[in-house]
Amino acid sequence: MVQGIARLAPLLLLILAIPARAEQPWEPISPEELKMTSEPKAPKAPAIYLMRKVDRDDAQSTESVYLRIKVLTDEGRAFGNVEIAYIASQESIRALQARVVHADGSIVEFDGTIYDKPLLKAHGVKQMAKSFTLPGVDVGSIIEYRYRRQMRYGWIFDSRWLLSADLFTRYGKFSLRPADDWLLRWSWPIGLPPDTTQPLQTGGVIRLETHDVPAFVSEEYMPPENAMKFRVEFVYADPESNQRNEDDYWKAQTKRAYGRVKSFARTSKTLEQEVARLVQPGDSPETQARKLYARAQQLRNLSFERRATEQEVDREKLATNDTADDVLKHGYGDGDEVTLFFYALLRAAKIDASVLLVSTRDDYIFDPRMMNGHQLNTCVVMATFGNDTMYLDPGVSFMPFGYLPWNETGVQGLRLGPHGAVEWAVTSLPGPAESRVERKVVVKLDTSGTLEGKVTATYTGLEASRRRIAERNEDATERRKFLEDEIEADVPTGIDVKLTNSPDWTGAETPLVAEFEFSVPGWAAAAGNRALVPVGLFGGSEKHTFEHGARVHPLYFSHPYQHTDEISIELPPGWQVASMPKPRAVDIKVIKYGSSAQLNGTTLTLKRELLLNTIMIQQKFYPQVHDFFQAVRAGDEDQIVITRGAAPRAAQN
Amino acid sequence: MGSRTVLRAGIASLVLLQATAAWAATAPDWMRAQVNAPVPDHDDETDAVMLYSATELIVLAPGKMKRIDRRVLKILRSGGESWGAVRADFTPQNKITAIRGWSIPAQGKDFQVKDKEIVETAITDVDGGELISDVRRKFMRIPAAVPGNLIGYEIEQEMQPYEMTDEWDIQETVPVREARYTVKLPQGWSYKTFWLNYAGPTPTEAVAGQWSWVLNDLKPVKIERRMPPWRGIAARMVLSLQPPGGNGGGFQSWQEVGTWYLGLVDGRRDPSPPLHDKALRLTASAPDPLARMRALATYVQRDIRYVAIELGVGGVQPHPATEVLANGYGDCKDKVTLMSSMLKEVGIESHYVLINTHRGSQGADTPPNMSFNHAIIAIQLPASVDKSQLPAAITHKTLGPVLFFDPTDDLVPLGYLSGELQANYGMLVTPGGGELIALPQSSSALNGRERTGKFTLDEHGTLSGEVRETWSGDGAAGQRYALRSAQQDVDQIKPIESMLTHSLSEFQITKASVVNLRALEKPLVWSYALDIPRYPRSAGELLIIRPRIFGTLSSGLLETDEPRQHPIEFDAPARNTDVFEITVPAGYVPDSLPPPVSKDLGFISYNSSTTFSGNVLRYTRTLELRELSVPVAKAPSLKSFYRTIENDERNSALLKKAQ
Repeated sequence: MVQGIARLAPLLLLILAIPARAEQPWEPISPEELKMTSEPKAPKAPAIYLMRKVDRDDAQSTESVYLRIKVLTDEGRAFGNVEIAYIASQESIRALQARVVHADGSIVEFDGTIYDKPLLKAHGVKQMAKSFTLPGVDVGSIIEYRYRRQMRYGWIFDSRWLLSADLFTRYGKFSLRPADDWLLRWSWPIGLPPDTTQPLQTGGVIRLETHDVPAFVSEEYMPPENAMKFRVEFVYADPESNQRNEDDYWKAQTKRAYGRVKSFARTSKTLEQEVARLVQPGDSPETQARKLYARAQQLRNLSFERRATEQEVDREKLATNDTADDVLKHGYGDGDEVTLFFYALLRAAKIDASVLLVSTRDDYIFDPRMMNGHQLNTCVVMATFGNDTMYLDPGVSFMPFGYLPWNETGVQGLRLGPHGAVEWAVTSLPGPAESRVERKVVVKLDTSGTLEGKVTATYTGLEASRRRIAERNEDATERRKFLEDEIEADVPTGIDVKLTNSPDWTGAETPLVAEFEFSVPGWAAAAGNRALVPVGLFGGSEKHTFEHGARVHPLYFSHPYQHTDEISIELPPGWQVASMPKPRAVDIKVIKYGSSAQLNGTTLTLKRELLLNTIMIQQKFYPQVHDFFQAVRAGDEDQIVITRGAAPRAAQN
Repeated sequence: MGSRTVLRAGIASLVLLQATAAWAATAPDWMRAQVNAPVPDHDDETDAVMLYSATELIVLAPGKMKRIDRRVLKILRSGGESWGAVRADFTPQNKITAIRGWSIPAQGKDFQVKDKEIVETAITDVDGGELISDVRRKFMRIPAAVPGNLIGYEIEQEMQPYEMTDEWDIQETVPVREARYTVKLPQGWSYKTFWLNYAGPTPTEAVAGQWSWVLNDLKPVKIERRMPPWRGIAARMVLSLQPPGGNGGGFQSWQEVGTWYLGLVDGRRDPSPPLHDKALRLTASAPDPLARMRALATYVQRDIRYVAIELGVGGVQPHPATEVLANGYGDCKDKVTLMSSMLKEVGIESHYVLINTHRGSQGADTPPNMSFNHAIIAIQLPASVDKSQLPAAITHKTLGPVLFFDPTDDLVPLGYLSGELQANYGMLVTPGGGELIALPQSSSALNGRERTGKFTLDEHGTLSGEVRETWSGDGAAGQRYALRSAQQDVDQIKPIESMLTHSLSEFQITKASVVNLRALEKPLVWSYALDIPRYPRSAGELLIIRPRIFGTLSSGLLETDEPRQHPIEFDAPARNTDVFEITVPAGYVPDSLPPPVSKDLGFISYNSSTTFSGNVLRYTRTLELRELSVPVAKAPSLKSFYRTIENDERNSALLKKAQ
């Protein structure tokens, strides 16, 4: 025993010689970092990260963060205010140190108050923040702080290195020591910043170094923000699942998911009776499917109801749906349950169909190589009618047969089949003609330049379902305002508009038709004894589309569409057309615009069409898109010259 | 053994909680009494109506009050569901001791919000975005707040106010059927009421020391764009409470409010040797008092970073000047404190001015109160300073020439005030106490933009030229703000691109630069050049040219379906001018030119003219806004005025080849 203690003594001495909380020295700052006044790769930046270090140790449940920020402008001094959020019951922030290093090299260690600021307390969860503000931060100062996030021991979860940050990063260094006993996969979905080598695992630690990562910017019509950031994703998986390669992973996912779907959608007498009640023996498979689709949409869809409070949900005591039979019996289901109920009906009707797990593209840009099954967040039905394959989702209210909501269109999905084979399919993307806004206008022009008459707007496909979904829980007053506001927003000047009919808000298969009384004061501008009539009455939506010359991200649209306007203008008695603009046609393949004006007797007919036939345009094509929308605006500003009395011959085109 | 005891205790309390919840799930009588109450008059866009609003104030002692607020609403439309999301702010001095919510569905049993459903958050949307503040918020979502149902809530507060006053906000943005307010005073206490925007009734004294006011069928305050702060125009009662003997009661005068504040700031401006040295160093090269003021103003504006740490009385009490200097940061009152202290070191007296940046929140008739959200400084001008050169200066009846300055606003130089402070009311705090004073309003000539563009039209229809824009006042501040938030070169030009896109379908900016970005005392000048392809339209031999090449001065503000109900508020007096000259190819003469426009409503005027001389088409216009507030009676004429501008902006000149 004595011998044992003696043998331990040198080690004990060594431990005692190290301070219990040894302070690591700050990393050296170069003279260049001290003196720099701007970063050529990030001109105008208020501040930049000179260094970002994140070292995570999932074996010890800790994460050490070290940030070094150079302040370059007055606005950059705000980075001297620091807030580090954490969940009080799950983690703590330890060893927090900060300092300011001035351009002359003088150092001010932070010894001020660190406030523990409560951010949110709800349902037993307390979100807090360590907040402090560094004194004496000037332009040219370097702000440094570091801390350790100590998470609950053994708490393992998927994490990520976010390489793109709010500021330009000159140098970033990241490491992760994985937790023992778990399988870890990592990937970099949109690639890595230029000149960054991919993460390497050495000595049990995955490491990455990066340089010159631009600050992340947000833009209109961009893909989901998170999908556009340089990042490395880490996903833990059960080591027993033996899913080290992509094929094995998705095989296991398919098998598990198919088992669940099969169990839910198993055929039963009840379902067969329901099918028999709904379809006629002579119905074609597609007709049958349409009837069954309509039946599924008659169910109460819980996903499209107002968000109820917990108490309301509890009080209603809705029984859970374990099978399609349950859905039928209860008469309700959430969106996925309604879709699977429809799938079960198809099976009962012996129609060739399968379920496709898909990832909605408003949240993710799905890539199976990432092996992240959580991203397959909903399902659609793939049905075959002869040579035709259709993708259907009655689980989305107001979705016509043959359509999918925009965020499920054109996405890759995992087809679930009995054999467990991995089979990917891409959902359909409706063409522009399938989602239309058609406005027909019949108006009279008076001598003061005012247009007055009627507008009929017809919305079809996704254009109709989008509006019905948006207004599903609103009353007639709100819906009227919604439609009137849309028309007002589309006309680039002040108008008076009043809805005159009662549109069908409840249908899915029928177009949404809205009729308005409408007047546009002063639409025609006086010019001596003439008046000028702009041809683009509904150009308001495109007035500011892609107005800036520069672009960072690809362009991303919800769905293809076709917007057509036909405007009949009856001229005031005695007025003639002196000149009309030539027809316009601009076509950059994925977007088309056309406008024309024609005179029939005393009636002018103006036509305008804007057609989008894509959902994504690469950033390198932005100049063409920018020019296209300039041309659209130019076309909308074309003017018809009208004059009182006979038109001068010389002025006719 | 220990853990078994804990477990048993846990079960016991759980049972108790459940029993309480079951008992309390019925809405209280005061709410249930409203089930059959008639719904007050409303239009079809009204989301909800307030059937019952009751406030009870119980005064316990000087500096100690209890207040209970109860509300019952009927939800009429889905938009009214937001009334079921109830928020209440609190501080350590102003505690919420209970918050409860219920709903009475049209069918089925009542709901009651459970304690565990109440969320507590930090306040993140306050002015200035304080870094550290002890203001917190409780939030609850009342179940079944849907059309047809009644919702109600009750909030109990224990308050330790700095001032023994209370406010009763009577009107809402929805109709109110019954509003009542009750005050219970200890023996010997008295009260005084101030009514705003309403002729208040006489209270009833049901029992000794308890008074009640009841109002019925109050119309909603309609929310409109550019209206005064709605609480500033809504019916309100302010109650000032006085204990026996008169000490420790509510403020009776602005002088009292100022005296109280003076006590809070006592000693905060005391200098230290480093502060003294810093003030002298900063002003060492300043040749005169005005230059010294400018040097110190620039320092406090720019070098003292805006950071608010407001805990407890720190919401109104500044940090000591020496601390602010050492830290290099502070909030508005800290900046005033430091600047005042430094000014004193160079021989210049100055004073605090507390103000509410929402002009209209405080007015000449507002009773004494502390509803301020900002602090600025009033500098007593030495005799050698020419006041006439300083638009933000007034002559005070006892202090003489006084210059107002906002050291928090780092975009407005000394001598000027931003629009939100102009013609606003603030409390000047001098050794004699407080005084509510009106801040000066600047001339329109000091704020706005002068734009001059010289263009040449080539034979291909491309209009090329250079533009110079000179911005001053709030206009310059707005430009500087937009420019400083640009993080990349391409961001800098974006505001110009957006402005041009509003008027031009196609253009290419070929160069752009800005000067005096940091020199606040000078106008900000934008210079840019652009090409506009296919600018004129052709109609046979005619060229159609819009002489107003770009820029929009018209406004759709009053293009609403409903008639305007409230005055129209503008940010600041302003004057904007445009001069565009277009040199057209030789051989063209005018066929018709847009008619000149001259319209003057007194508070606003607009003039434009188009001429053609030689081969130059020249367009000039000026829009001048002279007043900050336009009465509602003048809204129709202002609407017509803006339509006139819009028509003028769309007008075109027609040119033809000379014969």
